[in-house]
Amino acid sequence: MGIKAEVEEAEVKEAGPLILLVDRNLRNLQLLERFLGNAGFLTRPAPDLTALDAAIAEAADGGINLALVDLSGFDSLIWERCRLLRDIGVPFLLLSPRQTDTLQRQSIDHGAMRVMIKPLVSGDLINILKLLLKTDLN
Amino acid sequence: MTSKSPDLRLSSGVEGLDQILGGGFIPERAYLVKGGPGSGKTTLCLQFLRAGADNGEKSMFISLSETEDQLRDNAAAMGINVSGIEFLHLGPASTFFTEVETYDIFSPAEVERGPITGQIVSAVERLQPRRVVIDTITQMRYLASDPAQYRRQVLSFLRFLSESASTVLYTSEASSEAPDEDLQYLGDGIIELKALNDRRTLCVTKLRGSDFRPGKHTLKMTGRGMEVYARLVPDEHRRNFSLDRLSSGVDSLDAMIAGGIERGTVTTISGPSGVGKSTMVYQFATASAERGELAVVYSFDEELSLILARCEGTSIPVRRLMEQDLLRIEKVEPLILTPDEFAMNVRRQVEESGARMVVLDSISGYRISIRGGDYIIRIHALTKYLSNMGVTVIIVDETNRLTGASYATEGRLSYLSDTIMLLRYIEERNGEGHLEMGRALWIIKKRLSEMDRLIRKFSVTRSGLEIGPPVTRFLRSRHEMIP
Repeated sequence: MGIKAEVEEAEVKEAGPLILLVDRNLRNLQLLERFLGNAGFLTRPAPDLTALDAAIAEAADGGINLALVDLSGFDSLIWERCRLLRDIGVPFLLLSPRQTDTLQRQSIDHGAMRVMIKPLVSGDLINILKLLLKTDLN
Repeated sequence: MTSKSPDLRLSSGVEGLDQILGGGFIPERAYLVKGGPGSGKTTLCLQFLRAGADNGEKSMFISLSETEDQLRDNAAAMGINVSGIEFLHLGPASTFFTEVETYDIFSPAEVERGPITGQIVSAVERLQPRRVVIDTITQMRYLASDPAQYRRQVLSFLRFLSESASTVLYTSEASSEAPDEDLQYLGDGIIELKALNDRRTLCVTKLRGSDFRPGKHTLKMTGRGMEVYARLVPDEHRRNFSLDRLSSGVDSLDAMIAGGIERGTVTTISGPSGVGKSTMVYQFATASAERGELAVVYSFDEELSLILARCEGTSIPVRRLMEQDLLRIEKVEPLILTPDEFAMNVRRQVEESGARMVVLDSISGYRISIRGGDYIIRIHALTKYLSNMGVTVIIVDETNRLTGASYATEGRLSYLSDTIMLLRYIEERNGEGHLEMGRALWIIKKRLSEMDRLIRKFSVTRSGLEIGPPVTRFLRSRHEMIP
């Protein structure tokens, strides 16, 4: 590895893990970016399927450590993208306003690590992300 | 919340409330103002800040619901000048509703609390206010994830303000869904406002480290803001005076009562309608005025024009003495005043105008006209106050029976009366054997002196009140008087 590559890698590590935020609600996206940014995470927003596809295409070479996917406002095509995330090795959490048997089954089928019910408690979310990413941002 | 001396007080901006609080709020403490919508919480808070601004103290209104423009408009409508008061509006702006998307990823408690707290801290540190209002703190309940967190937040917030040398009023809107019992333990005092039917009251239920006047006090919203009429506490008022005998101005009547009624005592004149009670009252009142001592007659029943006409017909110089401002006749309109307001009016006559005699004409009119409360307790307090101040009181009490035996008073006033004069109609035969209706006067109580124990005829003539010879016998009938 060259000196430049080593420096770039070090900068990424210092900047913290990158989390892909998938949410059609722009206000939700803003808040997630703010809360996770304050906690030391890097974020990349994806407010629609096009942006999500672009993020998945780039993530195939690595870079995204985890994805938060808010199912609200998406149709069944979102499950396809979930499968793609799983296939490229990006772990993801699903966000939903309610828990149902169908959702539970679908989330397992498509490889979600877990389903979190909105509204989230910011402290809990940060702790789960740290645990999943095995990151000490302090 | 801190150990500021209870002797130092900050005016609440409402005179009557200051009296209830023993001079005002103890500085650098936090007080809960609770009450339903429209009970006057915001008005009280604005007056509290107005008093601070008038005193050169920095004053800040933190609103978690109404906007600054709304508050300014409401204050203007209540006649409260808000210049010099800093407003910090932390409620949602109108754009909150028009925004296409609202969030649901986190609870409002998670999202809003931080920025709101930050703005408050920043504003307090910048302005360093001596007086702070938070209207309403109930809104903070929705910024907490659970009751325990809410309590901690409010307590911490109030401590922050008190440690910043601020005196704080915080309002609460309690409901059955969101009671505010928890808030009541956090503050140093509680002021409860109530608007029930057409009556408003203010009650202080807690004032840490200080005494206060308990009970419900009358509250009024006027074009000059809030006015509070503190309940009269007779023992807080006292003057030195001598028990002079005060003449009625009619020698024969004075002779029946050992020269007159004593200063600072209570006299009840009791009798049926039209027997001459008011004439006797004005006889005493004008005698007081003629001595140069202001007499004030509260007329609950009769209009001034009728009073003047009747007194002119009996040569009682009411008009002249009124023109000289030695006699005042106050017509009390029905159902306008509460007992506390009426007592305040009487106090002003005594303490500001120097009234030495007060007449209530009549007790049944008082009972009908003055709204709310047990009137006999209020009358007791009022007459006790007047007696302590050396003011002579005459109460007119109308009885129902025209002739014959009756109670000494109908209004349960015997126990507080030092003198009771009973006027009665009597049925008697004239020289031709015809039945006639005459009048008789009977002094049935005179606590401080001897009295004429004879029942005497009296009459009201064009030259005034005339006391006649003793009644020797009544017509034997079922209306027979019981001696």
